[in-house]
Amino acid sequence: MRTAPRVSDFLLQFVLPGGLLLGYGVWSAQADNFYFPPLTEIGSTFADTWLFERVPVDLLPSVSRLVAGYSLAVVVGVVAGIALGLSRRARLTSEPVVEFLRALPAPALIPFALLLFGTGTNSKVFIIALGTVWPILLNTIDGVRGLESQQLDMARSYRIPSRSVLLHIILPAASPRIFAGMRTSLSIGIILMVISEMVASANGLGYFILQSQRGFEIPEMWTGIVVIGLLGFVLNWLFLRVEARVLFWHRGAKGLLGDSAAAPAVESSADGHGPDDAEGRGPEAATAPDVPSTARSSRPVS
Amino acid sequence: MKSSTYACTALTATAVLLLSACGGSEGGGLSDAPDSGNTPAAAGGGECGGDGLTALTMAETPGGPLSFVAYGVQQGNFEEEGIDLTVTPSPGGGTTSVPALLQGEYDVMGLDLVSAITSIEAGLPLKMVSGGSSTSDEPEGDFSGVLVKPDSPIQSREDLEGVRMGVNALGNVNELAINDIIEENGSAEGAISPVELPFPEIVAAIGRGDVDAGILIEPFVTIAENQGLRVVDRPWVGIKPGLQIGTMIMTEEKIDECPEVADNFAAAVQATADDIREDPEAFRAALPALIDLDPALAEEINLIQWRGASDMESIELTGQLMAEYGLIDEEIDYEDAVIN
Amino acid sequence: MLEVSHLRKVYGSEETGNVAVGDLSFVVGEKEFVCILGSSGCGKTTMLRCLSGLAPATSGQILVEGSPVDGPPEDLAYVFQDYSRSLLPWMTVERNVSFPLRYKGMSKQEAKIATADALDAVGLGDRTKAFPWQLSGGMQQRVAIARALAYRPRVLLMDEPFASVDAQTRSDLEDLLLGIWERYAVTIVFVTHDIDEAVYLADRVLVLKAPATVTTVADVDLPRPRDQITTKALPEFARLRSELLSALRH
Repeated sequence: MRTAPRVSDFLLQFVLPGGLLLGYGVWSAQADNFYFPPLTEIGSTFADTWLFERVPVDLLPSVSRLVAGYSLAVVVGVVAGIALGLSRRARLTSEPVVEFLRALPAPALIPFALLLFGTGTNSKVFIIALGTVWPILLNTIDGVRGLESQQLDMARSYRIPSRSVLLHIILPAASPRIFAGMRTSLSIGIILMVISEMVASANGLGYFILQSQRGFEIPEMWTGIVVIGLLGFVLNWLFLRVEARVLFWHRGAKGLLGDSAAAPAVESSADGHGPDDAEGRGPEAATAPDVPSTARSSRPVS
Repeated sequence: MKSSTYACTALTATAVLLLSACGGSEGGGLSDAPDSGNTPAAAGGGECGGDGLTALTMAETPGGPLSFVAYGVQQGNFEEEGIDLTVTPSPGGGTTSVPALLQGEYDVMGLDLVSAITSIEAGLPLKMVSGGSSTSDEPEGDFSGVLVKPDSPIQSREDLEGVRMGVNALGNVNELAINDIIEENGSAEGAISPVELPFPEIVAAIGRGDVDAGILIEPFVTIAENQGLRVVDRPWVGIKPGLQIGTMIMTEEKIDECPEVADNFAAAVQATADDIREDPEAFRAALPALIDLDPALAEEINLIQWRGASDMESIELTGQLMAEYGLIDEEIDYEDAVIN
Repeated sequence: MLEVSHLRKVYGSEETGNVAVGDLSFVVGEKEFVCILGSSGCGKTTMLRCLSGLAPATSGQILVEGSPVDGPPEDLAYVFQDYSRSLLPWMTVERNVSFPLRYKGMSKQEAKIATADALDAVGLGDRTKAFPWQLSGGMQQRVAIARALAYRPRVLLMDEPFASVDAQTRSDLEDLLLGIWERYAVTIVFVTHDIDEAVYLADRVLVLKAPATVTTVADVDLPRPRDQITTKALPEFARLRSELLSALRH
C-alpha cells in the first residue's frame, strides 16, 4: 500500500533549496550589490554573529517572549474556547466583542501595550498573546461544537460525570482542531515577536535586524533574517512532531469520525488484525484539516 | 507519474523566475548604492543650471530642523541663490530615509551627524554640503535635556548610573551622550540602558516610572518641564559646547551633476543662519506658523543654534567618539566627506 | 423488569408537533430476550432514547425494576447502532471498556476484572491494547458490547447493533450475543429490522408500527440453544417469519 521512504525522496527535498542558494551564491559573488552581499560574506558574518555570540543576547530573549506569549494564548484560548463551545448562550453573548477584538491587528495595539506594560518584555508578551489567541480560541470553539453527539450520548447513558466528560471526551475530541489552531498561531506568533521588538526594544531578533539595517550593516541584517527563518522552520518541525505523537489516534481514526457513517471494511469476524500501519506514517501526513480560523461549523450540535 | 512531472516543471519554473528576479534588480532602486555610475538622473530633482531656478526637493527632520529650512525659504534666501526649494518632513528618522535620497526621491536631506557619518562609513556615496543644528555654547541654552520625574532621586549627571534612559533613537548622538556620561562618571559599561521611544512617549514614560530618565529636545523639554519634570543635565553641551548635531547631505552623483547648486545651497543656509542670529525674535515669532507649534511654547523654548557651514571640529570629534564607542569600525576621511 | 405504560413522545407542541411515539405499552420480564421489530421511521430510536433516559417522555411511564426512569438509569446499558461513533478513538479497547466503570463505584481491581471478563466473553481477550480504529467493524461492535457488559447492567438495550456488519459477521455476533445472554443473565431488549434475526434471537417479538405502537406480539417457542443452521431449518421458524412479515406489511 505505502512504500517506505526512499533515499531519493529524501534527497529530493534538498534540490530546490540547494539550487536557490547556489544560484544566489554565484550571482552575488559577481554582482557587487550593496543590499545583496555575497553569500560567502553572509555565511561568515552568520558564523561570527550567531555561533554563538548573540544567541544569549538576542535569540534567547526573543524565543522566551514567544514561548511566554504563545503559552498564554494556548491556555486562554483553550479554556475560553471550551466554555464558549459548550454554551450557546455564552457564544452569542460574547460574539460581538470577540469579533471586534479579533479584527484588531495586534501591531496596532503596540502603543497601547507600551502604555499598559511599559517597555520591557511584558508588553511584547502581551502583543504576542493577543495576536495568537484568536486562531486557537476559534478553532477550539469549532472543535467543541463539532463533537460527535453519540459520544456525548454514550457518556450520558453511562452516567459519566461532566468533569470527566470534559477531560476525557471533549478535550481529546476537540484536540485535532485545537492543534490546527495552534499551528496557525505559531506562525503568527513569530511574526508578532519580530514586530514587537522593532519598537521600544533593547534586544531581540527584531531589534537586531532593525539596528543592523539602520547602521547599514547589511550582511548582519541578512543573518538576522536567516535566523528568524530557521527559527520558524525548527519550531514548526517540532510542533509537527509533537502533534503526530499526541494525535496519533486521529490519523488512524480518520475513517471513523467525521464525514462518513460508511460501512467499515467487510471482513470476517475471524480475522486477526485491522489496518496496523496507521501508526507508521510520518509527520508529513496531514493531521487535522488546516481550517482557517474563520471557519464556522454549521453542524446541528449546539 | 504525470502529476510529479508537472510538479517538477512547476518547481523549476519558479526557481528560474526567482533567480532572474534577483539578477534583474540591477537597474532598479536597491542596487543604486555603491555603483553610482549606472543609475539614470535622479527622478525627484530638476534640471540644474539653466535660466530659471533649479528645483530641489529636501527632506528634513520634523520640528526644529525643519523650521530652519522653512524659514530660509520664507525669507527668500534660497530663491536668491537660484534654488526653488521644496522641503518636507523626513519619512523616517536617522538612517532610515537615506535610501530614499540614494534613489533620487530627494535631492538634499537633513539628518543627524551620527547617522550621516554611519552612512558614509558604510560606503554610501554621500557628502555633507552644509551644517545643520548645533547646541549652544552654554548649558542653559541647550535645546536638549535629560529629564527626570519631580520626585526622582537623580539630581545631576553623576546620579545617572544604573538607570533606564529613554531616547528617541538608538545609535545616534544620544549614544555618544550616554557614553560620555558613563565615562565621566567612571561607571561600568552598560550603566545606562537606553530604551528607544518616540519623544512624546518618553515624556509619558518618565512620568510613569517606566524609565528613570529621558533625553529630550525642544519643544519636548519645555513641555516636560511644564508637566513638572526636572532637567538634570544638558547632555549635548556636555560632549562639547557648540557641538554640531545635524547636517545636510547630498549624493555624490547630484553634486557631480550640478556642482554649483551645492555651493549655492550652502550659501543660502549660511544666510538663513545669519538671519536667525541677528534677529532671533523674528524667527521665534515665525515658528508657530512654520511648524505648527503652540505660540506659548514658542516663547518659552530654547532655540536651536545654526552656524551655517559644517564645523570640522565637531565632525571630527563626533567621528572619533563614534569609533571609540564602537558605532563605526573606522573613522572616515573628513576632508573628503565635507564639501561645505 | 421493564414496564412501559402508555409512553408518548411528541416533538414540538401537542397539536402541530411530530408524534414520534404515540401510545406504547409493553412489559419485559426478567432475563427475557425481547426483539422489537419495525421498519425505519416507526419511532424505534425515539423509543429507545426514552427507555434509556436520554430523552424525556412527553407522557406515560417507564419503570426499570420498579423505579421510574428519569434520566439514564443505573442498571441499564445502551449499545448504539453506530459503534464507530460511540467508541473513543484515543483510548485502547481495554480503556474504552473500563472507562464507565469507575464512575459506577467499582474499585480499580473490580473494574479490571470486569473488563477482562467482558472482553473475554466477546472473544477479544487478546486485543485489549489495540485501538478501535485498528479493528474491523465486527470487532468494534464487540467492544461496544463488552463495554455494556462490563457495566453489569440488569437491562441491555441494543439499537440494531448488527445492522452495519456483513452477513457472515452478523451470524457470528448473534451467536456470541446468545452466549453472553446466558452467561450474564441479563434482560435484553433488541431492536432490529431484520425478521430472521428477530426470530432467531428472541423469546418474544414485538412488532412496532408508526408511531411506535405495538401491533403484534409473537411468542417464539423455538428450542434453545439455537443454531444458525438447524433452528432456521425448522418449519416453525418459517411460519413465524411469514407471520411477522405480514404483520409488518399491514
